[in-house]
Amino acid sequence: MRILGKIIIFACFGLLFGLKAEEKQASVAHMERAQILDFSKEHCFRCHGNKKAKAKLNLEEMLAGKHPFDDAVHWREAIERVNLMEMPPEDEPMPPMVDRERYLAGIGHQLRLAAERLAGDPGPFRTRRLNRTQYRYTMRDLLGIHVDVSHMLPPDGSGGEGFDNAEETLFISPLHGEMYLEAARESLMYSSKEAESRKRIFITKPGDKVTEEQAATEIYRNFMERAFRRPLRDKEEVPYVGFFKQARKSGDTFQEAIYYGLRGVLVSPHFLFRMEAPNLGKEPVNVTDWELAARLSYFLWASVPDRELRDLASKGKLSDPAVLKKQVIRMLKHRNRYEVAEDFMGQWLGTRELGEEFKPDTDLFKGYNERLESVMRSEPAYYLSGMLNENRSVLELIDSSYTYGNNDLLRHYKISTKGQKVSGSLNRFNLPEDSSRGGVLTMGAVLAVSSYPHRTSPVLRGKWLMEKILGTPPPPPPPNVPELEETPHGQEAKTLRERLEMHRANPNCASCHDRIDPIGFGLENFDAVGRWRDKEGGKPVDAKGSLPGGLEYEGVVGLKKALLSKPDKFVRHFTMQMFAYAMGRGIVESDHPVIDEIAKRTKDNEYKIRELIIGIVESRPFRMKRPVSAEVNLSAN
Amino acid sequence: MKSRSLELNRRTLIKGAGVSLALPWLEAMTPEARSAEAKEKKADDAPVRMAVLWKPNGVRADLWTPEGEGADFKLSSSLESLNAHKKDLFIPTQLWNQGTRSGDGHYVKVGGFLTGTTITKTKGVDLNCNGVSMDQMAAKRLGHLTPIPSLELGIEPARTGIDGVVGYTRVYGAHMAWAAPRRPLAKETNPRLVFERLLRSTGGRKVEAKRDASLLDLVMQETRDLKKQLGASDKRRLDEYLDAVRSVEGRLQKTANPGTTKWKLRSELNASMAPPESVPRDHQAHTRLMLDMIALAFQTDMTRIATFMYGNAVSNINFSFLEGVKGAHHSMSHHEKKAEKLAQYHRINQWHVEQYAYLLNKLKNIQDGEHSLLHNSMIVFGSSLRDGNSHNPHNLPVVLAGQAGGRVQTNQHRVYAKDSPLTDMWVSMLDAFGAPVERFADSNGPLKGLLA
Repeated sequence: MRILGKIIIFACFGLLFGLKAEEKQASVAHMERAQILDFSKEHCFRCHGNKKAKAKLNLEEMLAGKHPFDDAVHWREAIERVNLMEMPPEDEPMPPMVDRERYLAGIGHQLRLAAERLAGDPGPFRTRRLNRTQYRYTMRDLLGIHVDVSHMLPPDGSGGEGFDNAEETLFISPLHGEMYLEAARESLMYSSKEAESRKRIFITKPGDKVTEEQAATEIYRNFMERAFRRPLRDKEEVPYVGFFKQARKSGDTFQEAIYYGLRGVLVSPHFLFRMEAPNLGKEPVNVTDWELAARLSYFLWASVPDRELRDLASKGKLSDPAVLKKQVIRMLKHRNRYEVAEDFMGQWLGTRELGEEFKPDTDLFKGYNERLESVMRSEPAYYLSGMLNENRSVLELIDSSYTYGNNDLLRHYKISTKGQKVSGSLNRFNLPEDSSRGGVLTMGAVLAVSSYPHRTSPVLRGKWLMEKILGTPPPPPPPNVPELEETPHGQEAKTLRERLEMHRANPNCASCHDRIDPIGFGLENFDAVGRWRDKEGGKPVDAKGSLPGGLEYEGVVGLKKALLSKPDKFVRHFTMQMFAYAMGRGIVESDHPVIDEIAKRTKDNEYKIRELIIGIVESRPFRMKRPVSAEVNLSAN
Repeated sequence: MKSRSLELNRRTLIKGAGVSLALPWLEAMTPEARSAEAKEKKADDAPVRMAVLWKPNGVRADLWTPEGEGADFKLSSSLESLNAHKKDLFIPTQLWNQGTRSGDGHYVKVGGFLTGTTITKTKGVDLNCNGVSMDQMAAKRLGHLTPIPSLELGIEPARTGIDGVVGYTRVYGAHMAWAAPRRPLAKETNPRLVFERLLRSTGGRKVEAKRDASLLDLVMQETRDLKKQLGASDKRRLDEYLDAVRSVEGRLQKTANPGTTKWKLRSELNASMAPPESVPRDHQAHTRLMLDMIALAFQTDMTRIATFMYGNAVSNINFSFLEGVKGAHHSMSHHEKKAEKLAQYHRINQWHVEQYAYLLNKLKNIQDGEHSLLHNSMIVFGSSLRDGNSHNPHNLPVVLAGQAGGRVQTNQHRVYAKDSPLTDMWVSMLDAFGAPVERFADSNGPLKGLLA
């Protein structure tokens, strides 16, 4: 329950962000404390008050306290029920939808004020295994092999803000145990066949003055320090040398015997789990330099720290602010950033699932094929990777004067590239002045994953924009809503727009669909695979739309302009997504002021993405760990 | 028991590291296991197998229920592909899953299908199904009798993202097998990897298995030591890893030391039977290969328990490959009572039943001891919704095929009192499987008339 409420809080909250007073009137204004009390009195206290506290929830008592909103857990539970239309129950008087929303927004506002007071907690950083992506790149960099064995591992689901590196959902099944062993065996087999890889491992060999055991000890210590991402304890390699000796005794060659022990290293919890020394004090403390190196490398490379990071960590210099900043810049220019750009964009935008969960109908969309699909999937990754490398403005995610493409994609987009050389691989191109492309909204992959396989849907695209760009997913539909097809008697709606408009004539539907549908219409000039169209079903496309709050626009160019006229909401949401990815967990209360600060810093520095990344790295949650005593004791199973 | 020399080696090794040794726990030799093995030997030579095939997005509510009751029933158009197996079917009507009535339209229904519980609403941090799934109740009791305690299979892998609209992590929609309230079991979607797993477990690589077992001993030791150093919430993951390693170790012991357990390969398994290396893009080919793996695992007795998901919750697989269908599963299931969509939705549902029929047919044609493999199995087909348009868990569409070696009374359609617990059926099946339970979620006891 704890996390869920947050979605609702911020769903409601986000609506208020960056809106002027008159616009608040047009959507929802949050209730103040007194109004929250009045509303609760009228609709809740009879069952959740001092006389009777059903489900052990006493709102009357909670609201009477000095800081009634410090107890976020219970409030979230409460607002969840209200949001889901479970409360008030059916046999009680129903408050109008708009009051319901104002109430929820009001509680969200209060919880946020409380969170600001409680700021300072760096939040949890629980022990978690490497996820599949991290495992893949860790093996690549550790062994120097070019074979991806991670496909053997079961794919990870997502938690928190929707990334599969969120520790909340990185559970472990027997299948993982079995596959770690097999993946280790397979990777080491490849390593043994590649000279470059062997060179990384066999840093010494037995000879006149070096016994086999001494060589093995040195090899293991070197490898283990890299694999465990920390300095080794005294004699920590002994059991592995033991494996080596056992294998030698049973007839393995020196090399084979070394590989046997390495297999052990690769299934060790010290390797598979990212963990930090517990903070046994009472106050948050800085993470160690080694821990910082690992946090950095998994954030910016999805992989292990390299030699430079390890060297700085072992000298205790990484935590020096100037050094740290320099390292971040170096890492953002390093080619490994691409993997993170791909991982982050694919999940934030949902484009990773193109061709997987979302498969456009190739019978309907001639010319759409797997080759094009794969380029479309890569486009967002190239885009962010370029932004990180060149320290560009995050607003370029909304609109830009350039795009990435190859000959297939540019043909698909019908972009003319006068004088610019086009090839089979993805490159950056300047867009013509009048082009509507540029930014993530016009990327084929985005337009496809926010459509049905056979047609576009303004509702799906509206939902996509609200969720991914504005960070305010619409609440679920209330139960028993009339279905779309139930047009009023005697009326025949012709177009989808007309049908949706009729649907919105019902005030209960309108409270959400007034916000969802009009945004989505702005992208109607693009079909379900992202091609431009002027007509749809023989009629000219009507791409008039409006943003929550009533800002009207025409077509995608207008939509982008409207978004850029008030970019704060987007920048904040993007910052939050990046922060969640960096921490590998969902957002907690105390993170919100931190995220606000980073978003502001980014804004104050011309929205440069490097400021955003450095802002995250320098933040308390990233640099510090909370005391073990502050951890919520999760129930064991 | 494992060989003495190996044990000595491992002990010496770990002593060398200056850490204390805890001997691995051999699940196969617990008293409970011994008695189960004895029981099994006394009865028929053929063990009972059990699989649950789950389909997303419900069915055509109006075209599901058979006509007539008892042995004298006529299959509905949804089920017509099962006509050849009518005598092997047990079809209950009016079962529901009370625990899944609230929450959202999909995730709650999937997560609770085999547990009979209400999952906790969360984006991840509170992941909890609040129960144990029926297949895992069986696996806990008898899973150690086979190299692989249970198989979790599916078509769609766990997807990235949370469902921001309803506020559930999509992990819930991708997992129906739960070993413990906070532990879903990851599933396999690549038939080739499943096959390789079966092949690995046949006992061909004895030396390798012994070596792996030595490594895992150290892993367990390291994990236990780590647990002592870390805070409470960090321990949980290490516990999970410990259990995972222990489970692999159990399998390795069987492989490394054949003849120490009663288990025998019941039918040949070799590399020539391998499915293609890459997952077919064709949905039907992929589905059938996965079902083939269930048949193969049961035939060889690599496992006796399997769950299979035709798709994840809210699955939107494009079914345009079927004649007359122009669209994806979830969108069609929201048929809005439109004739055109209803017809396509129906066709999609029929397709799911046809794949079920494919598996039944396959099992029927495999000799297993004195009977067919189907006779010795219980294969369930079901969905956790009735109508995909309304998402309610009343009168759930479920079918059971196979006699569990004669324990199940098939060739009948039974209509129960409205809203009888689905979990009653799970209780009866656990009984037939040889893993009876006292209580199970909201169950009132066995489902009347299921057991012979």
